[in-house]
Amino acid sequence: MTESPASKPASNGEGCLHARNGLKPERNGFLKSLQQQSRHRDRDEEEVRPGMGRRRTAESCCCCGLKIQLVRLHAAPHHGDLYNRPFLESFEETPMLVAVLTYMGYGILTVFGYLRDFLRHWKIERCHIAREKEEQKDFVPLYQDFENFYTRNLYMRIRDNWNRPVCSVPGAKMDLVDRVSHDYNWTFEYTGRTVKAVINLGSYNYLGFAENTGRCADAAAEVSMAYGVGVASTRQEIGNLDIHEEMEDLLARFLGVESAMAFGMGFATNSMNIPALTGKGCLILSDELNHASLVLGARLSGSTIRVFKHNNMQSLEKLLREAIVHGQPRTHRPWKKILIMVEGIYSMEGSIVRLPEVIALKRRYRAYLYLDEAHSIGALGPRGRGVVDHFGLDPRDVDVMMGTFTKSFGAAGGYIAGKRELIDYLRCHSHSAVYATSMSPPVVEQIITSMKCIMGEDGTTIGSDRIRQLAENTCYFRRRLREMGFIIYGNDDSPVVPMMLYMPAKIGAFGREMLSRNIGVVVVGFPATPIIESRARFCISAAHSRELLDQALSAISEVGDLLQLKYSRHRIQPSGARPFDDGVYEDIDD
Amino acid sequence: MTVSKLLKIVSKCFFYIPLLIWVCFVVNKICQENIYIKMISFWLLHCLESRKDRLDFPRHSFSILAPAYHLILEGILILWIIRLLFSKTYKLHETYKLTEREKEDLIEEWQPDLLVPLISKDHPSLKYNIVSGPPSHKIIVNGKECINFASFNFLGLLDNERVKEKALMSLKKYGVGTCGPRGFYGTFDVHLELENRLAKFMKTEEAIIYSYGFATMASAIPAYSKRGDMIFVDEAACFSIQKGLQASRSFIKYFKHNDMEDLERLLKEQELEDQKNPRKARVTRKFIVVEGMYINTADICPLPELVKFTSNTFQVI
Repeated sequence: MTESPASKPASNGEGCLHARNGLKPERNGFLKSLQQQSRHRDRDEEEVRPGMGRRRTAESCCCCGLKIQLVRLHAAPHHGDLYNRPFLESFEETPMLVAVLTYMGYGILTVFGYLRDFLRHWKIERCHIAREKEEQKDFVPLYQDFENFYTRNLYMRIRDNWNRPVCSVPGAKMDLVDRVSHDYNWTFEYTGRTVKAVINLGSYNYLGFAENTGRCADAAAEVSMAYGVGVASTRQEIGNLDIHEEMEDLLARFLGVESAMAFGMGFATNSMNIPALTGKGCLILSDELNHASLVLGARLSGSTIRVFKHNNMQSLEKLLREAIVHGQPRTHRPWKKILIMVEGIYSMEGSIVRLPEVIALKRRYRAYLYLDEAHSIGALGPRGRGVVDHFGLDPRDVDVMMGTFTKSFGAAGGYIAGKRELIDYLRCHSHSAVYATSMSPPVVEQIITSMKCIMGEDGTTIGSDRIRQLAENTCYFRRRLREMGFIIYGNDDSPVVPMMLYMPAKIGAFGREMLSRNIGVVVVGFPATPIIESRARFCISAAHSRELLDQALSAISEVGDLLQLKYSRHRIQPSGARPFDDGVYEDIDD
Repeated sequence: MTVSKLLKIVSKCFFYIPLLIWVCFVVNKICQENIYIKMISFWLLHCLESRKDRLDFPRHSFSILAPAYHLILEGILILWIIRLLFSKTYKLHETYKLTEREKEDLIEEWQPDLLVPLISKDHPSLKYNIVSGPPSHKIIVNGKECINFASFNFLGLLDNERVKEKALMSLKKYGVGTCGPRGFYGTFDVHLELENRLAKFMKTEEAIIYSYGFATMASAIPAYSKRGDMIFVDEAACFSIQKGLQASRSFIKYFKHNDMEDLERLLKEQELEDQKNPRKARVTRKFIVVEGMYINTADICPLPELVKFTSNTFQVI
């Protein structure tokens, strides 16, 4: 059963942090039994603010992408013994004027897209698109014209912001290959020059292990001379080196579980192992914003998939209850097993999963939990052991812990960890162990060295220094951006910082302006995000020093003023010039 | 919808449509002629009149009223309606509401299966052979030195010194990992160089590389072939191709391993189908998937004969 909370109602001093719409922050994510106790208090406060509109849960969005949102979810005193630290997440609402302008922008682009397609069809304009071979002209076309409308007309205009080639180690600073396009991004030419010392805010380098000097690189070099570069066989056949076994033992100790198994590619870890765990007659409850690898794995497994709203524990509980009570659809037979799939940090939102509540739900309803810590392993937690460490929970509560080595360890590959029975089963039945080549030796050695460094077993304090540096950097960066007035999504502790851009033209403009100021950022648009919520995503690293961050922040502020990106209405220090001011929205009593 | 449900709906329609027709008929007649009012008034008048007109009544009444068949039909319909009004309705599916107590009980009773079934300790794949030392033509397995007939080291490049030197150089320049997907600063100049060289080597226009061999086929197939397309695959295709086919959700047809006549037969059948339904054929893409050298049966596909099929409006991968 769920824990009984120490219910001390939040004092009115925190009323300023509660948002309008009468929505109590504790309501979302709060388990049913715990809600009973806050209900009487909610009713009083609801009467205080009449006519504020329908209440919605914190992370719900309607189909057009507008989020009616709280400003801050402050959960510390009420949750009592579930959370040991404040859980602060915010997803600020899209300003109405900005949303309208964004739709107009996409509308104009669509009209122009149709015009250009028309011109291309009638050969008035030269056509650069990939065409079929002459002898295959009358075949059914490989791509329907309309499917690629977005790619041809919208993506092509700003294509130079992606796939930028790097020609040095992707550390805190990197060198980019200079490229120009003379035909509006259809083809690129390399001028032969490189852009030196670009500040890197885009690579997943949370603990700064992407380096070509130092202990990790030396160890990897030694091993590649000793073992060669490849293995050329699968794990079950002759590809299981002794360093693989060493790495897996170390990994199990690092995570605090019984045993672990590593695979060559993070994406493939999910898509090949979820089918081994569930099948027909099982139910998968996956979060709305799960990564494509989790979705693909769930689809390939053949189980029934039900989606719950992002990080919304009420939605999850409702689905769980319905599933157990009603059983399989139409036959009403009981489910064989129920698997809840969540991620540690969601990379597009920057939010952290509410792990204590998920574990409480899982225990109550006897479901299994699959935790994908691709971004959070190494990056969260006082000892760098991931989101389980961040909340101070027991790793034995999570049934399947999955993660990748690409992000914090500077290597490549993925792992699955858990109880001994689970890993033994996967050793025999996983598709990857039977059919896919095992990891190459220098990569394995990089993982071993970096993991020992983080754990402190190599005798230095580099690991814990870096973890602390990352936490400080994250806190500082987020605070400064919020002070400047940008809309930042996500949890205050996550090193992934999405900053909202909204308008399609600003996506391209932001990327290019930042590059001209020697800062490399990642901008994301549709289809990775909802259509009006395009964003720039910063990945903070322990390798960034305070000066580097200050430099980056001043450039971001400059570009933000130039492009009018400071949409937020909740600045900590309100400044004089606020764009899109009053008249359109209600005032907040902050 | 099942047949029984369909029958129920049809039978209800069968009862209600005549009712509708009757109502319309009646309303029509009342509007036009007020025949029932006439009939009732006629009867009433007749009761008040002398008895000598009574013999004339039946003929009058019958001539005012409709012909006999109409009366009989209406009589039957009235009887049907009375029956319908009094018959029990039956629901198509049961809706039941459980009480909270029952739901809690169900939740308490439900026991899931184990996450993974138990593996016996002496399962043959459980203990992997441990290789110590570099895998080349000689290999040390479980402490014993053996001749290596197990690795896919066809050209012997696993322990080539030049390869190792270059690997070391790139390690000193780039570090070990790329720290990002291709789209977000994970593309290095060496990736682009490799793709150019591969394209030149294979004499094609362009090439693309993946970091995991298994994933290459499993993602390339769904990228081209979507739901509703046709794929003809050799029976002995490897596991990675099978996963790609499963992910693409297209129609799969297997032909016997390396049997070109079987493939031709399938293609001809498909052509006949296309002629029957040309509109669908215009949007269905067709692919043939074969391997150069099959890992399951260790032989080579007959490529020259396969290429002949491309002239028959089929696309070959």
